[in-house]
Amino acid sequence: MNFSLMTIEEVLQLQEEKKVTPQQVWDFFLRKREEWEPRINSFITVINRMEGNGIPAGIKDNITVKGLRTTCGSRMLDNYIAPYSATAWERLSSAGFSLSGKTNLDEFAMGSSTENSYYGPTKNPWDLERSPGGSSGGSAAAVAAGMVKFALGSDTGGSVRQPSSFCGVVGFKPTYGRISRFGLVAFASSLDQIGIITNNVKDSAFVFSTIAGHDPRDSTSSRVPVPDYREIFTEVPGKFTFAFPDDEVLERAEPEVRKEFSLFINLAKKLGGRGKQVKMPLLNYAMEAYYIVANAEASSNLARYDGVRYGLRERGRDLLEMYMKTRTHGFGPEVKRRILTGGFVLSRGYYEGYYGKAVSFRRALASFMEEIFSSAEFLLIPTTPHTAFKLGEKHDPIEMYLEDFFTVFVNLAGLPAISIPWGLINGLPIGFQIVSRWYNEIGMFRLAYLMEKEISFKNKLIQKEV
Amino acid sequence: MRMNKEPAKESFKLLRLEEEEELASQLERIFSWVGKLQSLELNGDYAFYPPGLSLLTREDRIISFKELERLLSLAPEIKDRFFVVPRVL
Repeated sequence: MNFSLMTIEEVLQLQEEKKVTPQQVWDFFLRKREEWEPRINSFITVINRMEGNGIPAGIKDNITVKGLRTTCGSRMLDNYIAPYSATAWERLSSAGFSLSGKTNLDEFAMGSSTENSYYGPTKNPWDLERSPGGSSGGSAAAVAAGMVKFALGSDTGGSVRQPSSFCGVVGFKPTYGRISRFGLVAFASSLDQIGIITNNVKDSAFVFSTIAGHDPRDSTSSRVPVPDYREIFTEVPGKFTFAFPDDEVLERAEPEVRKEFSLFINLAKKLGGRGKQVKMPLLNYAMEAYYIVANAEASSNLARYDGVRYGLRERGRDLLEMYMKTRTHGFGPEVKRRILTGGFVLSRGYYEGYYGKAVSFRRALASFMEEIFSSAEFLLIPTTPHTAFKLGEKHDPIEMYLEDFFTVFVNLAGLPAISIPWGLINGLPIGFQIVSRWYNEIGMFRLAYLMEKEISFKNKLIQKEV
Repeated sequence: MRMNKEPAKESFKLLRLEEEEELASQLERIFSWVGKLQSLELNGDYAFYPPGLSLLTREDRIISFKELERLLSLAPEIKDRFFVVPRVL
């Protein structure tokens, strides 16, 4: 039996009918891990002990699991053992899922290639010379290779959806506040959300309904009721409305991606969607606003890594020298760039012009998205401007930041979005996004499922039994 | 907005990190890139929360963490129940 090709619901059903045991399920994925992991470096820590139903999860290594190392891909936390578990993991564990390991990431989730990890880059299982995207590249690659049934990532500006597009898997980011951030190591608190990576839409909804919901330990946790998994797929959209961006926005994607995206739009129309093209001029400023807000928050959040209470400490003659040496040797170049940028945009004399402007922009963007969703239920838009790039190919920080052009506006406005695999361009996967209004995950899952059934893409990496 | 100081230098002063020369030119480019936002006319409405969320407050009460020893064991250096740091002055 190939458990990779089944939904979580189907695997649990087989277990209930005593047709398979948790051990058989665990061993199946373990064999996959043994086959793939030495080649792609998806994990920072691997777990060899099965628990519960044996269905293995990968957890991004910026989400805490009590008693395990949580490194955030950084030398700074190389020796950090989490003293508590994230709410998301606690809920998965209570539901019976097993942990396969802690997955690789760009240091503190800052990056779009998983190359900024102290533990070396993860490789894309579709082409080992290419990046799996990032920052949740370890999670996306592990799911794509079939080493785990699903994985959690974090999505601050596209860090779940972009690697999902590069690896041919489903990447979901909920409305801000849906999934507790308790135990997610903070990067940019007003943008961070835990996201879910799976091989199919149903599993994404299953994990979402397991881990979402109010948590008093997260002060930004929403109280809006979460749909039960069993309710989600009871119906599919018949007629629906959607918007999609005009050429000015789409030109940010490469021609082959635009061509495939037009076929994606045609499919939505064929399935009962009434689509209209919309101008989205604010998207041209979203990247800049994102980097101001995210880095400002990061500069504050990362101030805690000072070598005093936990993590790396480099010796110094006095306290100041200890701070300087610890932070100089503990952080990689991208993290330093972001702390420096963030500190600057918050400094006196520049705060209004940079940070103030970016926060005002968020409000304007949210109003603009509200307007779009007043006449359309969904927005369809590419996830990435192209397919996976080669490892080491992008040296310029700004060029790397622009990888997230199609995803950051979703985080700035706190919206939910899902990237579903569409097909291959020159042998490499590409995904497209469905974005919806706040808290309409149920509608989004239904449309994603409807489209998934019609899309001919198959993840070839999980077809073969082991 | 016109800047009258070299922005990267200003940041270094605030954050006290080393490797200043290496990062300076990259940061100048990043500041100039994000500066594009300043051409937008926006009202000064700052606070932003996604709909359905507002700043939640909670009762100010002590919640005891039962595994204090586990926390202390993560510290690079402790004495009794205090974190030890190098001299300040």
